[in-house]
Amino acid sequence: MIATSDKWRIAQLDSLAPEAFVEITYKVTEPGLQESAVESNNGAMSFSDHNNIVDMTGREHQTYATLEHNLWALGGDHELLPNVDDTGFVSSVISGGDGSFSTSPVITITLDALHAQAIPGITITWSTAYGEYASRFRVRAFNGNTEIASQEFENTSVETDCQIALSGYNKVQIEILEWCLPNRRARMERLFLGATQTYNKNNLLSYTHKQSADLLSAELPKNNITFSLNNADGLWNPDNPSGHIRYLAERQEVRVRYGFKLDGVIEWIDAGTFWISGWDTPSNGLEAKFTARDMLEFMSDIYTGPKKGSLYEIATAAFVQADLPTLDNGDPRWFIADNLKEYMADFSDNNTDYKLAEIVQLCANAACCVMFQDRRGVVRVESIRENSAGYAIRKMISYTHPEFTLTKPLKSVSVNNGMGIAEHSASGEVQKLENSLISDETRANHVAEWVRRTLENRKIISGDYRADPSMDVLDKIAVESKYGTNNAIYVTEIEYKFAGAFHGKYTGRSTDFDVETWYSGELVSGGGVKRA
Amino acid sequence: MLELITDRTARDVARLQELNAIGWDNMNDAEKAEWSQGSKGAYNFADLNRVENAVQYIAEHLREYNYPVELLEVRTWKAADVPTLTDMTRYLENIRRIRNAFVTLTTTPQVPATMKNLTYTDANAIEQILFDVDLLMGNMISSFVQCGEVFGGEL
Repeated sequence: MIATSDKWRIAQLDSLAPEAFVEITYKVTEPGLQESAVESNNGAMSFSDHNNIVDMTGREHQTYATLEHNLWALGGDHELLPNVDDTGFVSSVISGGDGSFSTSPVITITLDALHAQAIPGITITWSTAYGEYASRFRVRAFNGNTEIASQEFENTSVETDCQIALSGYNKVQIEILEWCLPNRRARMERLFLGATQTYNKNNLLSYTHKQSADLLSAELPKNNITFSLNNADGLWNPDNPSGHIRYLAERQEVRVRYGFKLDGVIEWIDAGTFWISGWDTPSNGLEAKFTARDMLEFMSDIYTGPKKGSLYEIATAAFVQADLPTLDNGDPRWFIADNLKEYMADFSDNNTDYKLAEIVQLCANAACCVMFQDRRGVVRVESIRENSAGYAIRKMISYTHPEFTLTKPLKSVSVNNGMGIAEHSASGEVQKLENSLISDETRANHVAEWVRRTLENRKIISGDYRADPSMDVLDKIAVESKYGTNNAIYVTEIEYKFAGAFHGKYTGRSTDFDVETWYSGELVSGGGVKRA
Repeated sequence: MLELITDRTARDVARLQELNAIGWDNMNDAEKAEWSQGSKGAYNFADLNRVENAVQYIAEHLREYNYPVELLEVRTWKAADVPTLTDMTRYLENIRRIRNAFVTLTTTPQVPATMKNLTYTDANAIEQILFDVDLLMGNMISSFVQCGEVFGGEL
């Protein structure tokens, strides 16, 4: 479960759900563009951290004391230099009595090559720490020494979306002409080469979010969204020369969050980070459809890393080879549990061309772990969570009674043609598992037993419900049937549809944990239950 | 008598934040004048200089009356300067030395531990210490016996 407030959980108990929201933020840029940028300027303070202002990260910036007029407010939140992690760009020149500069600070972004792909502009974050901004500035773009675009902007915001179409450029300059206050240094925390588009329920015609994860890592997890936008104005028409379609590219980042309005304030939770994988924008269509996928979109190359080593080393090599974009704070977008360091694998003799995602999946399976992408956009390989928030899908929020299906009875599990065997019953199906990263009998027997224990729970439960989108795949939840709340499952598939409210579908496999111990039967909030 | 500021309030800080949020272009003339003259809700170079000058003045006065006090460097600040942790540690140490060199009132505040995350109460405390020491010095000096005879009651 994604962490939410008590208000959120209590609101799920009401017969009428609070107003719900979906917000999609789409970064329109050329993949790899930020990474190729180098910053320079015509004068910065010695403590200015301007070398990394061009990226896609969202670092927190803190206030610090300087003696610019009225800057060091006595609110108890100003750090002292040099104990400040990241100041961003800070000009050496101070604005005059009217906010203008005697010598305008100029920030120059030089790119590694000429970039032909069009971007709709640049996004500048001035100073969120102090709530200050350039009130007048100029953006210029160059191809070598030839100016190809120039535009002056007036501004009243700490984050400015500068709409200036750029293509065929290798240098961008921002000249700060006037600051919002007199006697101040110009500051810039971040510069994003591209534009950020935000869509919400005012523009969304449809929205679906599907997630799946396998309890045995026998299949790759899936996490994707599809959404359609109003295209009545032709903004997404392929023929529209000023339309947005020219900026669309695969693997552009999309972030989604879900919200409920609670006591007049919207509480947001992350829904996920995705990357554009396809779109359908017919010329005469009234809507433009988009599909965005999880991080595994980046992991379809053939693995070329080491074939011998710990599962941790092999999985890490696969992630490194994938060269995944980092998180906002610069951390990698993967997490591998430490227990994978304990298990060795050797598949040097195997000449199969495994994709990067498949290698990680095989590592997860061999280590008895699950694999999924979390809401921050991190691919995780770890043991399934033993605890959850005690969520229950109750009758009151179910649109249908839960559906029950039974898998075939299990006789035994055989790993790698009998290298490991776990017997279960005298009759039934023999479940076979092939994994070339399971290299020894001990590990094979261990994996066989893990598979047996999972598959002995034959009940698959599914249903439709009024969704609380804080529920995630692999959550351990209770499902209330008309005979009482006595079905405990691990969620393996979820689908959220949004059309003004959240509608959900779920599928899960029953587990052998003692639901009566885990679940006291007393509903406490938001479909949640009190843990025993 | 030294001119010191010891009456800053949360309202001063809030007012400064209001003015900053308005932005220069949207301020009316009265607001521009209010912002320009320097807010009591902020710590400006003039505040640092006022305190540094007072520290120096009181130290000289203390020495004059045989209360030895040795100060660390005292400096003059400009708007373009950036006070560092080292500078501000030195700044507070001078306040501490003044406080320790003479008697204080029971109500005289302690020296703030740091200038990091400085609040208006911390800023008031710094100047209140100087004010109290200066006041008590003045009281002492005014009660000194001048040359001539001492009279008391019917003696």
